[in-house]
Parts: sequence; structure tokens; C-alpha cells
Amino acid sequence: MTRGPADIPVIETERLILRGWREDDFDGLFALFGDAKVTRFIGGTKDEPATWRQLATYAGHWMLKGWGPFAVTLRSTGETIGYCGPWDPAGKALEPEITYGVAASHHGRGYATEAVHAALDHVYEALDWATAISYIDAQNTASLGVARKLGARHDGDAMLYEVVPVQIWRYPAASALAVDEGRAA
Amino acid sequence: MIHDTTRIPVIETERLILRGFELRDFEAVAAYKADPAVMRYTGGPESRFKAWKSLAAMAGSWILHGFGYFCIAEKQSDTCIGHCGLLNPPGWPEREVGYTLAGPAQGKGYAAEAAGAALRFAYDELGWDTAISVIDPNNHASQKVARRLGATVERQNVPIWDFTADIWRHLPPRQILSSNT
Repeated sequence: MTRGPADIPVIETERLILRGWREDDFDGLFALFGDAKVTRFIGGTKDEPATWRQLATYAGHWMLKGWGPFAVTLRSTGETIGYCGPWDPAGKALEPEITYGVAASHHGRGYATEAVHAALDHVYEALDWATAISYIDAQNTASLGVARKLGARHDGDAMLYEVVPVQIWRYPAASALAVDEGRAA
Repeated sequence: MIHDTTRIPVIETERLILRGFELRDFEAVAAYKADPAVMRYTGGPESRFKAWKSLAAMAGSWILHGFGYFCIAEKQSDTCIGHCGLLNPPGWPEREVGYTLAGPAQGKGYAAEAAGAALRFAYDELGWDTAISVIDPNNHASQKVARRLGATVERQNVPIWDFTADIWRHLPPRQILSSNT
């Protein structure tokens, strides 16, 4: 593992590079957050100013806490296709989660699963987390599919920001996490 | 371009310290961001969650731009009393100096002291040759700060993002760097 700016690690998987945030990640993030279908279960669309704030917030999470979500980029083209990583903004919920999202034009290839798997390895090894979850809307079948592929189980429910009902999906512990990186479809 | 974010400067003025934001500043930021009077001309009051995201975004701007928002802290206590910063998000007219102070910290000349220091930093250290402030036409307190720094209204009711505001032009470097305010 190499180190990037502000000590943000760079994580390489078979097809992805997870790295720290840059100004030019904006277009990739806006493709994701400007899309009503993709954002249906993650708070709805964001306009350009709100997408910029989200980008700065991901970057700032690292500065405030020393860890946070990564930019998810394609190894082949360098294109920014989404975000993935540990995320714990104040007031969202009791337990930090692995947050992730991939732009629609890159759906259906297992990128989210590959990114979340890398993020799990990261939080278990580098951050010493004993356990990890994602909060998922009960109707978000795509995300539920990612969770199931990684061996997560439904572990109760939560209310995000005290108003948004979600399911808690708990991933296998480090020792039990399947070693099939890159093969998830 | 990738910026070295370990170099957020600490700037001392007569009564204030301008420094990078830290997690310990959250309660202070959440308090003034929830104050309708403070936030009247800058998007309205924010919930705790939104205020945390704002705090993170202010810190994160340094990673993206290599410049960004400073926490304004009182020198005596190192308590956060507001923010001032250098910003230029996509769609913004040009590079700006912005400032916001918590209610109890207003009326003491702190905003001009902090914004003046941020402007000198932009000119001195970042090599900016000009800067603006984007100010609501009804925000008289903010206009007073801009005037005190020598800025003048350049364009009125300019559409920016989803609002309109006046653009104030600050004095050029040679006039700011030689002054003490």
C-alpha cells in the first residue's frame, strides 16, 4: 500500500484504484449524484453546488478524522466512477458504516462489490475495526445484492438522521471475509 | 493537481488565530450554523448533520484547491468563533474571500481582522492578484466589513448558483499588503 496526499492511502484491486480526493473528481461524482435513479435510495439527486459540497465533505472527513471515503477510479482509464469507504458524519447513526456508490454507466460489473471488499480489508487492517456494516434501504435491491455477495447478514434496523428507516447489514469479520476479490459479478 | 494539505497555515493577528478546522470545533460550528440571524444571508440555519458536513467541507476544500477555509479562533482561548476562507467552487464567479462570525463575536471588528489576514495570505502566499466577496444586497453587516477592507461594489444582483448577490472587489495586493488592518 502506498500513501497519497494528506496520508490518504492508495488501494489497488484487480480493476479499481481507491485513492484520495481531487478537484477533478467533480465530474465523475456529479454523473452519480445528478442521476435520480442512482440516488433514489441515498438521499435523492444533488445539483452541482451540492455535489461540490459532498466532494469537499468526503475530503474533509479525512482531515477531521484521519480516515474516510475514497474516490473509486478505474485502473484502465483513470475515470472516477464513484465513492466508497468508512463514513461517520455526526448525527447520521450510532455506528460508522461503509458507504459506497457507483455511477449508472458502470453498474452491473461488480465494481461496488470489489470496492466494498477493498474498503473492508482497509478498515479491518489499517483502522483496526472489529466489525463493519452498511445501512441499506429495504428496497435497494442492487445494494442488498452487494451485501449478500460479500456474505453480509441483516442485523436489525436503524433510523438515519432520526428520520430515514434503513436495514443494517453486517459484513463478515476480517477472518471470514471471502477471498474472491475481483471475481464478484 | 494534488496539494499538500499538511501545510494549512496558522495565521496570527492582533486578537485572532486563523487555523485549520479540527473535530473539536464541531460544537461551536454547529451552534453558529444553527443561528438564523448568523445564517440569514448564507443559506439559512443548518441542522447538526448539515453543520458537520459543512465543517468537513470547509476542511476538505484545502485538499481540493490547496486553499480553503480557516477556523477563526480567539487568541486567548483558541475557541472557534467563526470561519473565513478562500473559495472558488465550480460555477463561482471567481476566487472569493468569505467570512462568517458567531453572534456573540460580532460587532468587535473580528471579521475585518480575519478577512484582511486571509486576503493578505491569498496575495502574499498564493500569489492571487485580485479577490472578490459575494454579498447579499441586504447583508449590511457584511457590506460594512467589505467597506472597511477597502472593497467596493462592482456588480449588483449577479446570478450565482441558485441565488443572486452583489460582487464586491477587494483592493489589489499592493494596497492591501501595505496596510495594517
